[in-house]
Amino acid sequence: MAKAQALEDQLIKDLIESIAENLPEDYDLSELQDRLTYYRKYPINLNQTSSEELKTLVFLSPLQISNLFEHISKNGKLIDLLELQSIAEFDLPTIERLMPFVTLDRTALMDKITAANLAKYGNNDLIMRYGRVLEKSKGYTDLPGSRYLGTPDRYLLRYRYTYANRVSAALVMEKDAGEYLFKNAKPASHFFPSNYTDFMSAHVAVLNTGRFKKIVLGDYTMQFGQALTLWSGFAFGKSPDVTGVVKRDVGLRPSTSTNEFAFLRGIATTVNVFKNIDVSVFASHRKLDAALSMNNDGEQTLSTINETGLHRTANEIRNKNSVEQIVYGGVLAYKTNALNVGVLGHHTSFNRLFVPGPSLYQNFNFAGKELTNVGAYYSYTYRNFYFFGEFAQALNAGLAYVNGALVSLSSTVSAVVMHRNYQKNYHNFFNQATAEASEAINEKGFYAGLNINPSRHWSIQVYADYFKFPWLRFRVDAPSEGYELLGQLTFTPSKTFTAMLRFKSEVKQQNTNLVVSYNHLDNVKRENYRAEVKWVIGKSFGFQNRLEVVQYKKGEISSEFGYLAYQDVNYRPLSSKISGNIRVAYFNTASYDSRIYAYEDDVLYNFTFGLYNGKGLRGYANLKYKLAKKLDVWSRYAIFHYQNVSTVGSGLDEIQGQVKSEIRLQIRYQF
Amino acid sequence: MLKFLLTFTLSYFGTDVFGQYNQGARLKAMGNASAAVYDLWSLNANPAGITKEKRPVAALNYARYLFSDELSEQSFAFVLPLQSNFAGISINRYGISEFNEIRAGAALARKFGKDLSIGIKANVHQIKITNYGNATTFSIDAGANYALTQQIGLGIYVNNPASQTYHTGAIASYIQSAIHFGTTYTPSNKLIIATTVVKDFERKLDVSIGLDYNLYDFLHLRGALSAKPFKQYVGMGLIYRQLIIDGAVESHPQIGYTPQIGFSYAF
Repeated sequence: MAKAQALEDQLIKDLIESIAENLPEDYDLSELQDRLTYYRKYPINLNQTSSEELKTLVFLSPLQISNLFEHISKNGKLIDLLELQSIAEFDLPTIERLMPFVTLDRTALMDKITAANLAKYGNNDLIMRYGRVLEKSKGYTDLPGSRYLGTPDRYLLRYRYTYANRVSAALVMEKDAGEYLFKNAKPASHFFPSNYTDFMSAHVAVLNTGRFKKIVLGDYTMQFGQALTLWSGFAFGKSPDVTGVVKRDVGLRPSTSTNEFAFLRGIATTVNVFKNIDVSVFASHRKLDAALSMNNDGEQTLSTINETGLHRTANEIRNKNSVEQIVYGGVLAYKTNALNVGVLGHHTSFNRLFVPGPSLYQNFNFAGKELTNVGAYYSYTYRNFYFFGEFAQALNAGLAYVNGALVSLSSTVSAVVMHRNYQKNYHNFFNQATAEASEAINEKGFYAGLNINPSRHWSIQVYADYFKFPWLRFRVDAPSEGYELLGQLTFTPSKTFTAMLRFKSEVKQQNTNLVVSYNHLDNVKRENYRAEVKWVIGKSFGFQNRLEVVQYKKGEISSEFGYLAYQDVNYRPLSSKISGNIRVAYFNTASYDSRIYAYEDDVLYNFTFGLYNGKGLRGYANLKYKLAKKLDVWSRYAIFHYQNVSTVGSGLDEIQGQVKSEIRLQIRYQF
Repeated sequence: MLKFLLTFTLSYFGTDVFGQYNQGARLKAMGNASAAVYDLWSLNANPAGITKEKRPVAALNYARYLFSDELSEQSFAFVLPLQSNFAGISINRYGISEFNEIRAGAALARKFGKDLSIGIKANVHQIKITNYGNATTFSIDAGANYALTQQIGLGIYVNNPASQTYHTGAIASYIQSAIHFGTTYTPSNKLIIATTVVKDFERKLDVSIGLDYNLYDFLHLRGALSAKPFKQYVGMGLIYRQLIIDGAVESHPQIGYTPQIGFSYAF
């Protein structure tokens, strides 16, 4: 039993690891891991599923999903999972990834919601986590001015309840380092007593009740279309998985994320009003953080909303919950196997006035208190083409649209092309569309990607993105343009060995560093070269080596380089209660401009993105121990040792010495 | 005055632009990633690439640089297959009336078995500038194509390995001297993916990748990218019996869009 459980955990972990690289840095992987674990317990019935459900399996592409439904409507229900091989676009690696999460049998779920069923067949999952940086940073010393008012400990409590596919509930409580615990200057919201942790989130959801597909009370996310009109949370962007730019919109979902900004809070529902037509409506009331100032009319104004969720210093606490946001709206969606069309509209209002910042590049930022957004999205499958797109209009402001196609050119080659145009005054607080910039506004671009799998052993991905920014940006005093290229080659001669080479080049423009009477733009080029090898020895040991070089060049100044080399060792014997992994890394970057990111293993498959900046060594060790059948314990120790410095970090996070180390402990109880 | 400026500019700046000879609209839409591709216009690229023509075929091509009123390129090509030997001629003219470069060449290629082809081409170049006169020189191109497997092909060719130039100090013109190495991947009879790496003896490395997708019997869609500088290409081809019409547009970060169109007829 323990063996099966360990095997299943490993499977999900490997899957997440393989796609973690392609996710945005703040993507909440624990939510994805929960979902996949749920599907292991309650596999998706491929004969009775919906495209929305399949989209939650993030590794399926939209073309694969629509081809599956096409196949079933032409040939009847699937009789055997191996039949998947006959469906266009379903290559062997995809089928292997999919098998653990799907079935063809009618799932024997206890459907009725009764108190007895809820208690007997419900699943509870409780996680408690503690973390702390061991060295004392400046913010915790006795400073006269700004300092961290709380303790350096980090706490997380996450409780999830699921009953079949009918009921789900969750509670999240989180305290970041530097924040108060059991003492809160401001209430988290009207619903919760505030004196526990800085951040609290909860939801209760009922699913599949008559015509009501979902009803959620509490915290939730809405993700529709190509993320241009209504998408709260995070979306995949450009990555070696070239089909990742096509968004997997999953509609309304309860939120269990620890991210303190990217969710809606209130009530939402999705109702099936007619055969293929679903209507989703939502209402949300949030309190957000912002620095306020007074304008000439004595009104409180703000320029930007603070998304970090950190409330440590007196200033941050004062800015906490200083703005109220009310959002409401709806989506009307029509779905058939090949066609998916939706129209959306929502209205956002604030109780304080937005004023754009003073700089010229901020000239077209949102101003006022109210914003209405409308949009329409579509996706259409025609033979081996999957067309997709979205048009969005901010009333009394700008327009944005994105259109593209995902094409299966042959059984081994697929391509994506996508054109986007986001006007400089396109305002939307729920916009996560594919973009080069961190916000999808003031950008035009054309993206083309190719995915070639000539054989089981070889895999090639290439993409190129050309973009233009019609208006000024931060540190860019003129309209600018640039491009990004990526090429990746993977060789997997056997199940125990993988080698990968990746090249990425990005050119953008930025104000020159030279002291001149007026700024002109310099080309800023960043190139990454990566080589990686993974291999498995015996049944328990895995090794991974990576070497990465980054070259950074701005204008005519000579290039600077950054290097990273690491060695990972994993130990995960199937029949043991213990598993763990270790990394030792050496890095040397000339400056912050030539920094390197690499994902790092963490407790409970929480992958973090390590930032390697400066010169020194990095090491970490994770250990997992199965204390009892339903109880798992993790521990992690991580350390940065920098050379040629006397302090680490800056501002209130500055630490004396050359070392920054961190511990983390986590317990998970499933019952 | 404008013409004078254009002439002047072309003689110094134009070298970057016509460094590579026009390879016809189909190969242009594939980003000139043509080192291992078979096409009649391989006459201007890898001469060994003309060895898949089954019948005599003639073609005309016209390219227009949109940033000027006049600057254009006209090309003509003809290939005659004779069992396993192939002969071809091509003529290329680039420029405006006051400044133009003409290149004419004859090629000979031969198939050795079903996998290997080798070709060689001799070119005459003449450059004409009003009030300056003209200059002439010669160059040679040579190349080979090899089918590694049924799906993968390799190709290599050299332009002007002897680095011939116009032997006159009055013109700072440059005849491309480069080695090209490429591959094609043909997973089905509807799709070709081609890549080529070019190392010009005077300049940096350039890489391009292009694809040709046979969507319907009569319609081809093409697209490509090249790295240094970053350019995008798109094009399509229409086939009607013996006549083929190809169109392509190249997008260069400074020069802008360059459309071209070509016609070929198989006898």
